[in-house]
Amino acid sequence: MLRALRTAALGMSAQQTSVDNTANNLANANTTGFKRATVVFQDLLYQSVQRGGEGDQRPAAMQLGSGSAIVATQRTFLQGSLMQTGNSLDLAVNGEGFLQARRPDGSVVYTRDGAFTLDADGRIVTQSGLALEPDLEVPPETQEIQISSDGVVRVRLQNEPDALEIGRIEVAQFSNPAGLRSIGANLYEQTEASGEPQIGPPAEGGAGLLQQGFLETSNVDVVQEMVDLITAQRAYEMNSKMITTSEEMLQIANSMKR
Amino acid sequence: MLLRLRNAATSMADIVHRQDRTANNLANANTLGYRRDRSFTEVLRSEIDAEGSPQSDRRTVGQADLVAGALDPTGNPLDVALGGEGFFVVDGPDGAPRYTRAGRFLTDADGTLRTANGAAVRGTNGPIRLPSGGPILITEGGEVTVGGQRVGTLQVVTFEDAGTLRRLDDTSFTSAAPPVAVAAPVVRQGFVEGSNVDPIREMADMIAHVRLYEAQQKTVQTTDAILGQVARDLGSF
Repeated sequence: MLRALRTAALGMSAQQTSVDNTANNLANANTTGFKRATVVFQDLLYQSVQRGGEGDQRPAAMQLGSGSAIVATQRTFLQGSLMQTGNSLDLAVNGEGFLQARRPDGSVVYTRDGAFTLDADGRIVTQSGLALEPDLEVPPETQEIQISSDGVVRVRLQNEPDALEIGRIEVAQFSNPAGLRSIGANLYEQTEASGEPQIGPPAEGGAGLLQQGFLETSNVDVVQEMVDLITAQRAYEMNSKMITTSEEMLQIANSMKR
Repeated sequence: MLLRLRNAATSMADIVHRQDRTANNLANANTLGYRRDRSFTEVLRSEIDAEGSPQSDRRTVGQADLVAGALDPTGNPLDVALGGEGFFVVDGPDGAPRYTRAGRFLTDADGTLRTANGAAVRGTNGPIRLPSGGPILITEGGEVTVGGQRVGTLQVVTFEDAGTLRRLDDTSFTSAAPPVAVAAPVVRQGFVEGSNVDPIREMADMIAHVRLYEAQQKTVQTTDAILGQVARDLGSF
């Protein structure tokens, strides 16, 4: 009897984690470059109450399970839709690959959020102030910045007819992007599970194209999240009913002896 | 008379096991690829005692209900669902094969196809390694190509007798019987197969179990009352 109680309790806590995850997805429905996470459920160990195949023809055993749990939250790196902003320092990767930014300690982090800006020294930085990797400095007398789909950055200076190339933006690809660790602020860190990044120019080796003047919106589908929320809520409710029912059975057993 | 008590007690213990099973099914109503656990009670031996009350020895066996779950589109290239019968084959922690319908796969650092729990997915020629670059396509026959280059074929197997399947964690099964390759598997890329638990049926079972339990308890109580009365009345004679 206590098994059903615990099984249902584990079921409830797994559903609760699922709701937490949906809440985070919904909260980031409008976050640039956000990738939705999904939870992966699995069933837990089975206890063999009777073993099968012993001394008779029926091979089936009697096994009782012990509930469900969440093994992983998996990020879905499906492309979000591209939104035109017209801002010359807004970049979206259309396809595979991450933009790179460098933290003050020199380590590189990865992002799909291409809302860049200039700092006081004219360097291209993220909204949180991390420098774009590789470093690109925009001269102060720049009138126009052009970023081609293959990552080449050109600037047109005042009183100069020809654009001047100042560098090239590269993108990083991972064999397992789902293994990246989210560190907040739309940034990801490389882990052992994600593997080493393959860094190269956009539009080559399977990497996507850069689109200047666009931002990638979140890939959260609000309707899908609401459906997930309802499913989790109902499953939670059913597991809670199992707990009250198990409790009722215990009560019946208790009242056997008057 | 005492047999009646024993019968009721056995039945109550049996109902508890059934309820445990229903609880596990409900807890896994949202677990991808989960197969409903169902049970059969077999009567092994029946006899009638001196008073005419029947007594039976029973045994409950569980078996996975292999009815397909609903396919849920995810659009994720490494999510695969089996449209027909069969199981994907993954490596267990002890190296023995495990069989699962939960086709939500990932790649690890060197591109090997794995389950969320880290078990390597077996292809017909060993593990499947996906190089990065290029779109991943998985055909209906389970052939995996990356950027047009074939990297392996998902192994899809079935069993002649589903009764040989034993449950393990990680939504997987093991079997003592040798697996048989499915001749024409139906692998659907971008879909995952949901649990085949029907929550309404489980809720109905749950209520039925508690009421059966109550009825058996009343049998015990009534038998107890009759026995008490017999002892009192005969004693006062």
